[in-house]
Amino acid sequence: MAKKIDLHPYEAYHREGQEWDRLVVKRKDTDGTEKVIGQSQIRKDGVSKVIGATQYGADINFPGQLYGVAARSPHPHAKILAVHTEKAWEVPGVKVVLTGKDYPEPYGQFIADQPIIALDKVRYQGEPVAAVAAETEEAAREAASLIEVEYELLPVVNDLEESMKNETLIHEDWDSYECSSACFPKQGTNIGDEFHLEKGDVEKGFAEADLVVESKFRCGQLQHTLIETHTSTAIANPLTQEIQVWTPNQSPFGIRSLMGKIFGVPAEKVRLTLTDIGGGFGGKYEAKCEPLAIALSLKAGGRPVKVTYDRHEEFAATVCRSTVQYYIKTGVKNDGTITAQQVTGYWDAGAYVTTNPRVDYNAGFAANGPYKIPNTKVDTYVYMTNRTLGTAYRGFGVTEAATLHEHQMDIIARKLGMDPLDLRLHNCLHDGDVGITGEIISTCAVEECLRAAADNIEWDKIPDRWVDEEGYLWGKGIACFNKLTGTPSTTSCILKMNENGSLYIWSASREMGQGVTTTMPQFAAESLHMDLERISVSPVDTSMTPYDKTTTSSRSTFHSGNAILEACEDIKRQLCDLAAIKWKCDAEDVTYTDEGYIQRLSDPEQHIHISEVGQSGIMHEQPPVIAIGRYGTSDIFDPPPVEGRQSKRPTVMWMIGAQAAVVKVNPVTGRVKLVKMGASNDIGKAINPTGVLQQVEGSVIMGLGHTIMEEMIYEDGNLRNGNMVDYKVPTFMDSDVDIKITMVEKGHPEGPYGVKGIGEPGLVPTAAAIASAISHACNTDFDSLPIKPEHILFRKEVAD
Amino acid sequence: MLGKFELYMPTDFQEACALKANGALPVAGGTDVYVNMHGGKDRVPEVLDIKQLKELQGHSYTEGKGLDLGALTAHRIIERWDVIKQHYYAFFQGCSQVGSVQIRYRGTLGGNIMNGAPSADSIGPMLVHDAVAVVAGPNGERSIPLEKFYTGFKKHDIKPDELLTRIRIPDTPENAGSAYYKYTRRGAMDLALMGVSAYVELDGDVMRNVRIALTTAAPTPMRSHAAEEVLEGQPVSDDIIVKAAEAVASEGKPRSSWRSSAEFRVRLLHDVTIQVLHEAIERAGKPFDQKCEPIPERLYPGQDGLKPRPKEEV
Repeated sequence: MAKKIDLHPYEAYHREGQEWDRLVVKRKDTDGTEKVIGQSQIRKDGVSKVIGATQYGADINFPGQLYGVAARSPHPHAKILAVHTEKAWEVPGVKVVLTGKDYPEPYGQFIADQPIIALDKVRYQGEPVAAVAAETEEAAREAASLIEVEYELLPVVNDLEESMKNETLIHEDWDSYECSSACFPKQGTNIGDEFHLEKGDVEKGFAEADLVVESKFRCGQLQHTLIETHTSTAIANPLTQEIQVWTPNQSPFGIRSLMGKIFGVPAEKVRLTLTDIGGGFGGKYEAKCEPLAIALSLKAGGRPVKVTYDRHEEFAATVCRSTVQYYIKTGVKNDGTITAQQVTGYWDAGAYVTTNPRVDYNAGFAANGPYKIPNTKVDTYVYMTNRTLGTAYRGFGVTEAATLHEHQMDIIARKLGMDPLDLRLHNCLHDGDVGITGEIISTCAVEECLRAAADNIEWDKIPDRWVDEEGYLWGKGIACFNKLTGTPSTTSCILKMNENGSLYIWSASREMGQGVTTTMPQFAAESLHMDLERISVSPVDTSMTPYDKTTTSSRSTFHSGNAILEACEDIKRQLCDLAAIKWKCDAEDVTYTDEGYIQRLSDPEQHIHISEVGQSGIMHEQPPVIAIGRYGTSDIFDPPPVEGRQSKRPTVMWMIGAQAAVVKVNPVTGRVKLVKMGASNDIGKAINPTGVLQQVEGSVIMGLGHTIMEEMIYEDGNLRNGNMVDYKVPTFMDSDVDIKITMVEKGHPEGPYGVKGIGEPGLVPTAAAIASAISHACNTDFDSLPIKPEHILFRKEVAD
Repeated sequence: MLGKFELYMPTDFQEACALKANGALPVAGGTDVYVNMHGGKDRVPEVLDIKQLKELQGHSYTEGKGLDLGALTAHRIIERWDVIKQHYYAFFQGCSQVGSVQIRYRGTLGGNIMNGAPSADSIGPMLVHDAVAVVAGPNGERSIPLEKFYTGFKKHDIKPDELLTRIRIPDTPENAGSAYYKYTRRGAMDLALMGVSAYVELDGDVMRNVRIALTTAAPTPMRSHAAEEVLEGQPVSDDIIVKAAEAVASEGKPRSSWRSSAEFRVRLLHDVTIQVLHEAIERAGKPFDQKCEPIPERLYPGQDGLKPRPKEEV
């Protein structure tokens, strides 16, 4: 048993209908008396979203605009023999008809394996085989339906098992593609990428164990089901080669360079203007509508072209979370100490590689969970199939990895007769322990999170499972995780003070519901002691906004916060300089106080508060106040070599958390009710506590859907449930869960005010915790998600 | 996207019948018609909005006679009407579980019938309450028992120039009870994977006028006459209820599909029938003003998954 460490007293808070608290473990640059950070703030984007004033992607329209629509393949795998466009051209209003031959260059962030429009063959159902632009959407859809394609059908690789035979190849010649150094396809196979991590000697570790446990886990294929479907509007002039795209995208600079490459123009000629995002979750990280809209606009002589996917296209032909089949083997001593763990995994990545190498990589480092394991081996493979394309989905594969290692921990606990929480506490990482890359772990609060999550459902007072008087089956379960943020990465921002003393932040960290346009101003407000109301984030445009890698990986508040704090110091210095001019004194005689006063040291009576800078006149006809903030993590990063992936610092920030669930299962109907969820995330420092709680609450309901409802079902490459009726996402009527959240704050030394990310981590342990509780309730080991009523009714119970 | 179409909104009933005979598609709430058009499932050049027709409007209850419902009656009306909860509880359960509140405000009973989906939530309850469909056209009015009104998958006993105008449901005595169970994967906005409705009158402890209907078990909503025969005239007992459930399970012929296996559906039919009969019988024993009280579920002998396990030591 791990000994209970001394925890700081809880600061209890109450929000209407919600119970939550905060556990401060360690502070960084804060003392709890801050006025802006750590205080719940009204979202900057809240009112306009609530009243419907927000301009989303599809709200952008231009005079003379054409509508672009893709003609799509009904077949999952087929050779294209011929494409006939004549009938499409006959539809009145049609201005452009494109086929694969018009833009034959393939593209891709890791490997350029994907054509904009299929050329020689189609690799998934719904792949574009032609694209049309017309005066009306109706005409465009009509024309697209009249495109005739002659196909020669190929055998369909419907699933992983089929793909792993390598009999039918999705990509015959990986070597012909341009490939980055972070992607490892295997010529002559369906393997699009692989990842291998090795620490110590697993065989030696298994030999030392008293018990070796093996299990497997499978997570089904999920759709992001964004409320706003993919959309882009492009004006691309073939003569000037200037391209502008209005799009809701999470990765403006990544897409900019990709588009520049595809269309053979320098990056500076590609301008992405970002509209508000109606849901991202990784689904708007890839280029989907952007290249189609640009290609159509170029061929239309620069007329604006708008491409908006409907829900059917969204399901069939955008991106999804890949299926993964995992195998895990663990050696343990009788006291629960883990001696070795080996993980093997196979991703069903769909037809093109897209972001799967990054998913494979991030999940690989998280495959063993936040545990002390002296001997580890992780081997994972990205396999291609004729399914829709896998990509990032709120956690880059780490959610799936958590279901795997936590399922294994439950089996070990049962076999050893240990309490599942005790087994986790016995093995979890603490500061100073060695992680799976050989890194000395720091700022790790797994134990605090596990204990808080357990306390939030009164873990100690309830058994693993019980049956109530009406015959319902009850169970509890717990799960923890660690997730890295993509490293190295860089960001920058510009802070521009307006003539009236208000402040604009130029940053490409995108608001997509996670609240970053509120937290970024909070940093500036706290640093400058300025009124939060007077700070806002400017719209994002790649021709103006400074560089930021992407809005992914829960990195924005951490990285942009650091950049903003740096810029704020510059703003302070510039304001002091301006005051010195006005007061006709040396710049060194002016200081910026903690209370937000620009003050003369030699005469403290001479001062101007930041809220009065506009009226003070110090900026009048003086050099404008504008500052740059930059932050990057290349300096602290120790690149993990491809062989073994050992590294002293594989990431700038590990995110940590735990959740504990209580479920009630109807033994007759197999329906599951998530009754309680105790959540706990180490967020370093809650900048906007309400925002943190909303991230976690939303994650719990999303994860509930992943556990018992959501899956994309294919038969022979045909998607059967590509609509919102048959693909079940939880509704409000499924969201009645008693959620109690503890925000653990263990300040991160590199985080601004100690902050860590929370965009993805709320979701990572959710499915694992709920699945664990359902397995306990049903006295079985469910080894795949989703757990459906059928599985519950026809389960095999495990021997006690 | 919604294609272009001609919209007619007649106020004259005969004009509406003529338009329908001419091929215009009737629409009331539009929760099926427009959705199918929008999704590209249906291409309809002419739409006939029937909301102005007074022959299809209004809803009333007369003691001793029962319900007279215009085909335009929205599910939400049924859901919020106290008479329904006292006399036709299964009907309340069915209508209150259609889609979402918004859909229930727009969607109509006539539409639920004419759309013909085997998963329609209001139909099973109307079948067990012995509803009658009234259709009218240039040649006058016809009344057809709802069960007979369905002639096949999305097919009805209605002529091209006729419209469904009203639904009539007989009154229920105080010793009657009914129940509907809708099995779904989630708590709202879902179609019934399977549903069972039951109606029973209690003469002492003897069951009379038993009617059972199945939802999503066949190409049309259907009555399970075999199960009704098992119960008719029999005293209430756990055994007879389980026997009726077995009859339902053997009469319903669900198929395996990606949605669920046949084995699972048969098992559900069996178990849910037990719960629905239990609920209907309990309700029959209550006075009108208590019929809307919740009835706790109970597990019956032979129901799988009920074996209570000993509580573990804490």
